[in-house]
Formats: sequence, C-alpha cells, structure tokens
Amino acid sequence: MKYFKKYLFSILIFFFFFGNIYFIITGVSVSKQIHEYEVNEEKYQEENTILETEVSKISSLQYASSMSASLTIDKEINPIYLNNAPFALNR
Amino acid sequence: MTKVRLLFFSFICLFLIIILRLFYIQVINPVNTSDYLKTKTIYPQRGRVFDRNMLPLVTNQTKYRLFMEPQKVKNEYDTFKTIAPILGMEEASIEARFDKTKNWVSIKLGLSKNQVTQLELTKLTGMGYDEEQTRYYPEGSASAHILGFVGKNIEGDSVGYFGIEGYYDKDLSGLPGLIRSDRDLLNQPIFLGTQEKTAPENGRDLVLTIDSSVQNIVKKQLKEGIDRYDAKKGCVIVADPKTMEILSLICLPDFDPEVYYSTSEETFKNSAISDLYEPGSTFKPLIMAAALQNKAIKINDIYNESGSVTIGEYTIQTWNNSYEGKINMTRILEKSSNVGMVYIGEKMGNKMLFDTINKYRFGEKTDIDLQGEVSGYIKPYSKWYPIDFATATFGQGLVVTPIQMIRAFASIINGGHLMQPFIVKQLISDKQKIEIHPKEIARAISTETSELLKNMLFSTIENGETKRLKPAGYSIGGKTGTAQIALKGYYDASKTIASFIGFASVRDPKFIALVIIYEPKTSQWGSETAAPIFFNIAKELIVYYNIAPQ
Repeated sequence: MKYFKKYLFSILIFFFFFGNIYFIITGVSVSKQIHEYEVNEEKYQEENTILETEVSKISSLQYASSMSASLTIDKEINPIYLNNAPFALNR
Repeated sequence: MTKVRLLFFSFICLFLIIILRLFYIQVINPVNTSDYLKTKTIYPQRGRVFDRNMLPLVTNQTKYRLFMEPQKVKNEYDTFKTIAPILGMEEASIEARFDKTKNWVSIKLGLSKNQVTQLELTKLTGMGYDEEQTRYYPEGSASAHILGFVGKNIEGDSVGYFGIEGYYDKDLSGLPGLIRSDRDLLNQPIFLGTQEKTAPENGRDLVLTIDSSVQNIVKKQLKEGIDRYDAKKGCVIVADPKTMEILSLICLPDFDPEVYYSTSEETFKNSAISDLYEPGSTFKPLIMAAALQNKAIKINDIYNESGSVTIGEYTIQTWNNSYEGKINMTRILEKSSNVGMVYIGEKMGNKMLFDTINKYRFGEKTDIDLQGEVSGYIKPYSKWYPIDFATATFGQGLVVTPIQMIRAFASIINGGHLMQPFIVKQLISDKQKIEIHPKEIARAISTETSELLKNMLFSTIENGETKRLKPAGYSIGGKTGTAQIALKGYYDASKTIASFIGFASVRDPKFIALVIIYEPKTSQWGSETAAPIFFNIAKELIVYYNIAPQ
C-alpha cells in the first residue's frame, strides 16, 4: 500500500498523459472515418441517381419504340375486324 | 525525489500555461465558435412519379454546371479548343461567356456526369462544377400537362408548377435534414465537438391512374388528327367511367417539362381542366337522361319534327335544316335534332332544366388533383332568358370544362354515379402507403335510366352520322358535338369546337373518351374530325383492353 501511494502520482500522470494521446489519436482516426463515410455516401447517392436514371430510361416506352424503330420492327399490326365469320360458332 | 518534484512542477507549470491560455481564448478574448461549427442542409430527394403499371414517369437526376475562374485559366484559347467538343459548343460561344473582368463565370448548365469526367481528365486549370438535382422524364413530353414541371421560386428554391408537380408539391418535396458539425481546418469532423444530424425525409412517390401505353396511343392519334384536320389544338381525356380514374389526358400542343423554359407559357395551361367551351350536341344525352329520369318524357314518346322553332326573335333549326316528321326520342339523339331537344326542354320546364345542369355540377370544380382547374360559370336562374333555356338543351349558351363534361357523361353510362375524377391512386413514403379510392359525389340518374341511355347512345352510333367509322362487330356508344365559338357576343360561323364523346363496350363500359378539336379547318363538324380520332383511339383500346365483339 505504501509502495502504491508512493507511485500513485506517477501512475496517474502516466495514464493521463497516454490516455490523452490515445483519445486524440482515436478522435482523429474516427473523424477521418466519418469524413470517408460522408464522401462515400455522397458518391453512392450520386451513382444511385445515375443508375436509377439509366434504368428508367431503358424501361421507358420511348426507348422501346426507338429500339424497335432502329431494329425495323416498328410496323403496326392492325387487327382484322370480322364482319362475317367464315365458320359457324359452336353453340 | 528532487527530480520527481521538478517533473511535477514542470507539469504543473505546463498545465497552468494551458489553463491560462484556454481562459484567455474562451473568456478574455473568446474565439467565435461558429468558425468551427458548420451547418449544412441535407436536401431530400423529390418524390418520383409512376404510372399505374409502375413505369417511371418522373425520376431525379444530377446535372452539373461548368463554371470558370478567368484569373486562374492559364491558356484560354487552348482551354476553349479542348473543352468545346466535350460541351458540344462552338469555341466562339464559350469565348463570348468568358469575361476576364469577372472572378466567376458560368459556361454551361445541364452537363452529365460523363461530360464532367471527360473535362476532369483534361486537367485544365480554372474550371469547377456545381451540382444540381433536376427532374428526369423517361417518357419525354408524353404526360407534360398531367405532370407539370419543377421550376424555381423567387428565393431560388425548387417548386412544382402546374399538374401534379404543382398540386402535390408539398408531398413531393419532402423535408430537408440538417448537419451541425464542428470541423477542423481540413473540413474533417472534430470528434469531441458538436456532431448532430437530423436525417431528411424524402418526398412521397406518387402512383398515377395514368396508363403510359394508353397515353402513347392517344398522343399519336391526336397528333395525326390535328395535322389531318389542320386544327389549332386538341385534347383527349380517357377515363374509367365507373371510377373516373383518368387513364390518359393529352392536350396538344404540349411542352418538354425538362426544358419547360424553352416553350411559350401559353402551352403550360392544361386545356382539359382550364379551358371553357360550349359542349354543343354532346350535352343532349345529359338533358335526355334527366328528362327520362324525371318522367317528363317516355322513351317511346313521339315528337313531330315539322320545321324550325321560334323563341322570341330567335329561330332554331336542325344542323342541316332537314326535318323528318314524326320521330321518337332515340331518333332525336341519332339525328342530333336541336328542335327535338327544345321540345324535351319544354316538357321538362325551365326549373327542372336549370336543376339538371346543377345536378351534374357544372359551374363547380370537379376537384381533380391537378393544379389549375377552373370552375366555369352558370349564371343564376333569375338571369336566364327563354332563349337560354332553349339553347341549353343542345349545349349552347353555357360553358363547361372538358373534365366536367366527361365526368357528367360518365355518370349517365355507369349507373348514374357522379364520381370525382382523380389522377393519383397511391402516395408512398418510407413510413406508409396511402391509397386513394374512388369517391361518389352525387347520384345523377337511376340505374334503369342509365341502361336506357346506353342503348340510345349505342343506337346513335349505329344509325347516326358516324356509323361508317365504327369497327364492325363491336358495341360502341357515343355522341358528336359541334359548337361555334362566341367572340364579342356573336358566334363566328367559321370557327368551331368539334367534339366526340364515346365509350366501349355498351354492356360493360371499360373506357370513356372525350375528343375535342379546336378550330379544325378541313371540316367544322365533330362527326368529320373529332369522331374519326375517337374511333382510331377506340380501335386500339379495344385490342389493348381485350374487349370482345358483341
């Protein structure tokens, strides 16, 4: 106990000193991480918006009609309305 | 021991210096803490808009503005030459915007991420980029009048104008979030300082009753029709007659909502809800329905159509001045007899006729969820002259909006239910999903009278002016209308508003469509302009909705 009391002050100084350094280093490191997350969040949001725009463009009817025109499959198929059916209905 | 004491006092002195310095910084000469505390608004994502099949109609996109700081640009002519092909601009245009006397000049707005990446690869000095969220419309201008657009208010904030962007602006906008954070010189957060974040609440997504496929069909047919008949403009509304869900609403000319500022303001107005017109003969079935409902006439009553009718100093004729003698009530609609309708009006009496117009809620807003609807005006009963009662029976001398007209007409074919038209069926947020259900406003006529009217309108197509246009084998009901345009108190005979309102199938109507063509030049009649457009649309919708022949 006497030995402990003798070195108490030195021990406290040691813990305060290195504890402070530890907290400062950890704080800087966590700050860097927060900053990185912020940058990444913005980047992913931007990428997400770009991808969403691309998906909506590709799934649009305008895109489908322009694709069909470029592939020359845009000829309309008009239905044939039957005035007189050539066969009898099965009644 | 002396060494330890020396160390102890050294530490004491050091801490004392730090404490005194802190006291000086914080108390004697306090530093403004706002230099460290940064506040940043987090803007929410504006809500997206989908059609009834969840096809996106409006999403968000990020666009960039290229700006330059002229003082920092090293070799300006090389810079212009390098960036011109990336921007798709002439070098001279860039040079014209480049003002050496200024510290900051905007070169081009609306750049894509790809363009920005290419510009960054050039590693030129004195260039920078501002980011901006804008709206993206995958279907282009297909639903311009329904959607409206997003512009800026006086404070520079994004605000929705017209259509659902205007009507649902608060729902779409969401709520902004906030970051309060202590930052060091490198703009990195100070971990032990203030760090607060209030997350933004993104805007609600809207699911519309609109069907993009029907929109495309209608737009194509309306555009061809306006070109063919050399008309000034045109509108088509397609709805589900039972619920008044709007399936399609197209008015031409329209505008590109992404670059709305490049078109005339006049085109922003949605004629389907903001323009008033005299409905003409499309109004006749509404009066006929009320007369049958109130037992003022019976369906088999006979009217002797012997010639024109005189009301005061005015003479009323049929559209072609031909008279068939004894005809029944269905025939009055088939041949669109004005004098026959005056007879029905007389049978009803002025008060009943006036009440009928009010019962269909003309002169009141339909409360459709689009910004810019007008109510129109029905003058008070005391101000009606005898000629007004006579002309009102065939849809002249009173004004309605197209949306009021289709709502009233739907009520006479859906069993008599006057419904509130609507465009948005669902509002979706992170927390909840709100469903909007059809709403009945009033009961216009009985189910039995509605059945009678459906058959009369079927007969009107089978035996009327438009029978040659109808696809064989299918049951379609409808009525043409031609109204002259009133200018300075007189009707201009050369200018008409041609319309057609029809539905299919007669037994179980899947859709009702109103076609209005303003000032067609090839023919003034609804049967020769609006009706062909309606039947072209109907032929495609019959296939789309898989309506069986009857």
